[in-house]
Amino acid sequence: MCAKKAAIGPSVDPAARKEKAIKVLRDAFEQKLKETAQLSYQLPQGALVVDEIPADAAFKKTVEVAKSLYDQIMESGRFALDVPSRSSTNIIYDENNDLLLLGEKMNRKWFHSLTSVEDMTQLIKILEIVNQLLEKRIHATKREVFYNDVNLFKEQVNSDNCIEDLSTVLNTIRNSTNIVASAVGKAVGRLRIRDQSDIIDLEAMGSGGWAITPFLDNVEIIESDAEFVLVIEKDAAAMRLSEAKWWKEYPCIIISGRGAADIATRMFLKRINKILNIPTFCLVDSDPYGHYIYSIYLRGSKKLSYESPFLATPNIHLLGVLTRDLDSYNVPKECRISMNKTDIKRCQEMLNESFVQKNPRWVADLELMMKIKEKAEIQSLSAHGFEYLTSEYLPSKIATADWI
Amino acid sequence: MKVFRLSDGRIVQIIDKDKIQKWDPATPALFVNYILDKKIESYGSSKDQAEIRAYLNEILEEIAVPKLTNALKSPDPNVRLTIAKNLVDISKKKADMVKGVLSFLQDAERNEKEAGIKANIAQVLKNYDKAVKRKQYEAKRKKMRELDEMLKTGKISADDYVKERKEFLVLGVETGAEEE
Repeated sequence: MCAKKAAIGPSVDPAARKEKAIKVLRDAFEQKLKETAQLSYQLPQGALVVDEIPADAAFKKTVEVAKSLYDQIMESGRFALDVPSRSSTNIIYDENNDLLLLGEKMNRKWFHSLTSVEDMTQLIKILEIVNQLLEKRIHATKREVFYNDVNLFKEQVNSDNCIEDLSTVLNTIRNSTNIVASAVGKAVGRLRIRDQSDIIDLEAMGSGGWAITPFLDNVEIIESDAEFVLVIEKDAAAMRLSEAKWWKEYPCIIISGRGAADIATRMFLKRINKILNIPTFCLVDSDPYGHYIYSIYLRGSKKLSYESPFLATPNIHLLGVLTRDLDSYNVPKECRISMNKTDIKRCQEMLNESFVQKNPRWVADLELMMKIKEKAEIQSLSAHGFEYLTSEYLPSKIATADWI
Repeated sequence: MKVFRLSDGRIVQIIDKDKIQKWDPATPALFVNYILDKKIESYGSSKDQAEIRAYLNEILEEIAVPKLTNALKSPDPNVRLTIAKNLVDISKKKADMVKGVLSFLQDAERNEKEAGIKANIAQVLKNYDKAVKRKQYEAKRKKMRELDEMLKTGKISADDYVKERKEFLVLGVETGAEEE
């Protein structure tokens, strides 16, 4: 248990600070609107073109793939499928847009080959399942797909790989194949959405918030008076903000990723950021894993690089808890934890990433972390009182535009 | 999104008309009604609210009403039945949502020849009516607590109390609510 200490710094008028914070946010919003108006996103040369498509278009694509296989069989009795390679050598870093993308390298998988006959059979089975899901306009989880033919897939990792392979073959994202992963994220705050014919007010969902649905193709953003989005790694910290109804004082949408961000949470965040054009911030633990989680929101994961344009939020800022905040906000020494070997290794790996190196403020914070070799959780701020996060730390960080 | 900058500096964003155009026939009217019922009062000054009301009216006139009336007047009974059933589902969950389309539903009920469709439209109107009465019943229940105290202290006559009590009981029967 951390000892309670008084917060440092001169006393600040909360109303004046709030006014300043709101001004900073509105300036950021206007700037973002200008940038969006000038933006014309273009994929770098050699990157695979992937699109989010409606169910009927995805269904047609499954039929086209099946027909091409049928034609090959009728012509030669042998058939193959070109599957985009998802190996690390085929991942492109799009420096302009800060995204990880899949290149155009293909692997030809033959059915009449001992090395690929099993893969191909599994892939064709996935094609059949996706075709049925799209035709019936229903969704299935990856786990359900695995149980559809346990003898064939043997392990879920095999069906999961085939699902991702098929998505790339269809040049679409996995959600467009109606195969979804269970979601753990929650959202609350100044946002109204439509889920088919239901209108859902995210301010009226109780302190628990709205559980982000994996069926995001049914969800549409319809109204909002939020002026920023705050993504929080820890559910406990999100609960603190939710319980305080913090969005009423600071007009925002709060998203809790509950640890490593799942696909639905990242996709929902991306959609909010793209549609509402409001500044977006991330609050994570002050440790290398927190920075890694921020990087996943920022530029996507290597595993799902082909979906990056639909999952990554390249203009998300790391609001905290920064390494320098540990001293600036007087996090007591007893609330800090020494970094272990794994932390130091991960921190060094982060420093080696090209997307980190192009951001000097990020590099500086990680270098400071390497120097002091200390980490702290978001909750360590409660050493100054349970309301310190909502009444002091976050308002001060926003008012001073102190983010990465 | 259509961005409204309110006079106090706040920002409100409402979905563009071209996106609403793709919705099913019932939802645009329900959406307009939702904003008017639940949100508009929080949108700053009366001038700001008037600007947003004007946009909502555009949605209503250009999209919501044509979509709804076209569907309710469709020569295809399946289209009429589908929308009537959708509205029944919505009115069961949130009866307030159909408030903005009541006049169209009353017309549709009068003109509908198919018994099944007519019954569904009538059900929507009944659900709405029941929800309104339930609200009245809840308000009356609250009032009855005050009247009970007033009766004890002699601040209300027995006759007046009985009159109020009778209205409360009638509303309870009409809404199917149990007496407390």
